Amino acid sequence: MYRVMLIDDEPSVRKLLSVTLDWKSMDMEIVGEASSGIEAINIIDDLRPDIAIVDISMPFMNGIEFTEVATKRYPELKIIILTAFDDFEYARKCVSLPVFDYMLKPVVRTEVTETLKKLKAVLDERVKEEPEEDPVYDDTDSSIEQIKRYIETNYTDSKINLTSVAQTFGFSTSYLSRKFKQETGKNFVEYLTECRMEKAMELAKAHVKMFCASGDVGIPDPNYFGRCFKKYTGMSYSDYSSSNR
Amino acid sequence: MNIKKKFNSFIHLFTKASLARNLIIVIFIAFFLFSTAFIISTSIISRQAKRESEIKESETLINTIVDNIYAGLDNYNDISRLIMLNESVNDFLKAENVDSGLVNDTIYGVMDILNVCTDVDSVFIFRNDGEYMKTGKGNYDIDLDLMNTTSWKSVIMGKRGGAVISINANDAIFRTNKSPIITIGRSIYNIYTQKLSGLLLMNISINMIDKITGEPTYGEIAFLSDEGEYLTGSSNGKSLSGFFDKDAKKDVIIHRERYIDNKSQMVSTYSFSDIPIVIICSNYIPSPPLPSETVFVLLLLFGAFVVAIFVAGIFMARNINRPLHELTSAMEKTKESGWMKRMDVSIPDNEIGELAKSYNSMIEYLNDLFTRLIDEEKSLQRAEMRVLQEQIKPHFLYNSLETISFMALEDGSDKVYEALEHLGSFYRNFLSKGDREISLKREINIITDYLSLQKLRYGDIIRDEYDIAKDTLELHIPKLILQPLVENSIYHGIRPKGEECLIRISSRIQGNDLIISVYDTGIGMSEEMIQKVLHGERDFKVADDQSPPSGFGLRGTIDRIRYYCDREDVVSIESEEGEYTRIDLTIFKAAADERMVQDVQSNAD
Repeated sequence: MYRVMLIDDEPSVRKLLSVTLDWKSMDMEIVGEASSGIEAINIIDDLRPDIAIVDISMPFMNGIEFTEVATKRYPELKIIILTAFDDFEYARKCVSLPVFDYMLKPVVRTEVTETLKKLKAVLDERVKEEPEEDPVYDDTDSSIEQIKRYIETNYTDSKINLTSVAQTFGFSTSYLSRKFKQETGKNFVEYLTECRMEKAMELAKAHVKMFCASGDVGIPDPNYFGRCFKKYTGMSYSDYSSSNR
Repeated sequence: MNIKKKFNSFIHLFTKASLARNLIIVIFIAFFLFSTAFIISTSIISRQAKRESEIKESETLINTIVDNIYAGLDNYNDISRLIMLNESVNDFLKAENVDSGLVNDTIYGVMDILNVCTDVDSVFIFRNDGEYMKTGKGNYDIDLDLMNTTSWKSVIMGKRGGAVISINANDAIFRTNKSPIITIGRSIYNIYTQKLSGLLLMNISINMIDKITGEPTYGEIAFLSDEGEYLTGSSNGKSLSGFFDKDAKKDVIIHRERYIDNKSQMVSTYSFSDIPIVIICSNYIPSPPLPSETVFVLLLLFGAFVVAIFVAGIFMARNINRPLHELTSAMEKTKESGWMKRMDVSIPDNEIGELAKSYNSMIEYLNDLFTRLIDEEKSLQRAEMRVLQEQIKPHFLYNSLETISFMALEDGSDKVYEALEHLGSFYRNFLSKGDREISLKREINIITDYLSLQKLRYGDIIRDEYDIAKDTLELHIPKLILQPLVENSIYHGIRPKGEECLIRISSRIQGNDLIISVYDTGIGMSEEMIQKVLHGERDFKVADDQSPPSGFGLRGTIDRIRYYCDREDVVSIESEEGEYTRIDLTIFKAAADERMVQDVQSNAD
C-alpha cells in the first residue's frame, strides 16, 4: 500500500478525491489531508507519504513553495500538482520543479486514475531496492539538548520540522525521532508545538490578534493555528484571550 | 462680355491643367513672344538700314547729278559767253541792214564755236529790231509776241548779260517735236557803247541730262521743270512726276518714304534754286544687307534668350515639377495603399523637400495618434476582458462545481455527480486559455463531455460513436473546431428530426492530411444550404439582440479552418436530405505537425 497525502485548501476537492476514487484497487490509501502547505509541513513527518497531491494555489504557502521545500527534504516523495487553467502563470513556474505530473482542475476521475496508475508503476520499480539500516551515531545525548535549544530559538520559522532539523544536525529522520522521544519523553512535533503554543498563550494573554500571533509563532495559517491552539489548550484562541482579561 | 467669358474660361482651363502642361505652355508662349519680338525688331532694324542705305544711295546719285549738271551748264555758259563775244555776232547785231551774207557769216561764226561741243540744238540771236538768226538742227515754234512782253524780257535783261537758264526759253521757244530744251539766255550789249544790242538764246538738248545720269542701279529718276512738267528721266521715270511739290525747299534733298508698286521706296527730291529743274529719284533696295554686327548681336541675344528659356524650363521641371510630381505620386501611392506610411522619395532639400517632410511628420503624427488610440482601445478592451474573466472566474466555478459534486455524492446522487464532472471537464477544456491549438485528443474530450451533457437533455435522440485513429490523437488542430459542428448537427440536424440519431466522429490520416469527419443521421442539408454555408457571404449584420442565423457557427468555424490551413478547400459537405450529413475537415498534417513542434519548443523555452 502506497501512502497518499492530499493537500488542498478546498475541503470538497479533498473529499471528492478520497471518496470517488477506488484507491484500494490501485494499492493506495489516503493517510492524511492538509488544508495548507503550513499544515502539510507540520504533519508530513508523522504521515510519511509516498505520494502528495498538491493544489497549486493555496493561501499562506502555495503548492510551489511547498514543492520546493518538500523536494529538498523528501527526495523520495512523488508530487502531483493540481492546477486550474487560470493558474497558468503558476503552472509555468512548476515546469522547472521535479514533480511527477500536472493535473487539470476540476478533477476528472479517469484522468486522475490514469496518472496514479503510471505513478504506481514507477514506485513499484523503486520499492524493490533494500531499505537502509539506521546508522549508529555517537554523542547523541548532548545533541538532543542542542536540538531542543535550536527549536526554542527557531520555532518561529514556519518551515521547520523533524526532517529539516535532522538534516541540519546530520541525523536520519527516524533515528532523531526515536532518540528525541527517548531523551525528552515527547514527540518532536509535540515539543515544537509546545514551544509555539506556550508563546501563543503569552500572546493571547497580551490580546494580540490571532492572525498576528499565528505568524509570530511560525504557523502563519491561522486556521491550522487555531486548531493547534484549541487542541493544546482546550480553548479557542479568542476564548482564551478574553478569559485572561 | 463674351471675350471676358472666354478669357475667364481660358484662365480656368489654365489653372485646372497640370503644372507640367502649364509650364510647357508658358515656355512656348515666352518663346513665341520672343520670336515675334525678334522678328519685329529685326524688321525694324532692317527697314532702318534699308532707309539709310536708300537715302545714302539717293544722296550720292542726286549729288553727283547736281554736280554734273552744274559742271555741264557752266560749260554751256562759257560757250554762250563765247558766242556773245563773237565778232560776227556783234556784226550781225550792229549792221544796219541784214543781208543773207551777213547772216551766213554769223552762222559760220557761231558754228565754229559750237563745233567743240555737242548737245547744243540751236542758237537764236535776236536783234533789237526783231530780226533774228538761227543755227543748229530742228524746227522750232517761236512765240515772238511773248518775247516782246516786258515781263518775259525783264527776266533776261535783269541779269544784264548774265546767263539765265530756263526751260523752253520760258515757254517762248518749243521744238516742234515737243522734246524739251534747256535754254541759256543772255542779253547782248555792244562792247563799245555798252548799249543793249540783242538777245542770245542757246537751246541745249535734254540729252545732256540723260548723258549725265544714265540709268540708275535701283529705282527710277525723273527730271521735271520747276512747273512740274516732265522733262526726261529713266525708262519709267515719268511715274515719279506725281511726287512733284512746287513749294519744296530749294537746294536740299528731301527724302520721303512712299509706296510704289506696293513696295516701300525712298523718294528723294531736289529742287535747284538757280535752275528751273527738279530732280526726283526713287530708290528701292530689294534685300537690304543688314550690318553683320547687328545680325550677330541679334542672333546672340536670340540664342541667349532661347537658351535661357530652356534652362529655366529644365530648371523648373527638375527642381519644381518633377519633385512635385514625385511628391504627388508618392502621396497618391500612400493613399492607395491605405496605410499611413511615410513617403520614401528622394526630393531636393528645398521648399518641396520641406513639404515632403511636413507630410511625413504629419503621417508620423497621425500614426502616433492612431497607435495611441488603438493602444487606448486595446487597453480598454483588455480591461473589459479582465472584467469578463473576473466574472467567469473559473476557480470559483470549479470550486463550486466540486462542492456541489461532493454534496451530490453525500446524498448518494451519483448521476448528478457524473453530470457535474462532465460539466467541469467541459468547461475546463472549453475555457482553457493559452494555446489556440490543442491536441485532437483534447478536442475529442470536449466533444464527449459536451455530448454527455447534451444527452442529459436529449438523451433519447442522441447516440454517439467515435472512430479515432490512434496516430491522430496527438496531432494539433485549432481549438474548438469540432464542437460547433456537433452543435450544428444537434440543433439543425437531429432535433428537427425528432427520432434517435447517430453522431459519429471519426479521424484518419490520408496522405499528408488529417481528415476529421462529423457524421450525423439528421435531416440533412439541401444543396442550396450547403453552397450557402461553403461559399455564401458571411452575414455580419447580426444585431446584438438577435440570435445568429442558422449555420452561423458552422460558417465561422469553416472560415477559421480555412484561415488556419491557408487553403479554401478544407471543408466538404456531403448530405442527403432526410438521411444524413457528413462534414469532412481536411487539415494539412504538415501544418498540424509544425504547430506541434512549435508548441514543444515554446514549452521548452
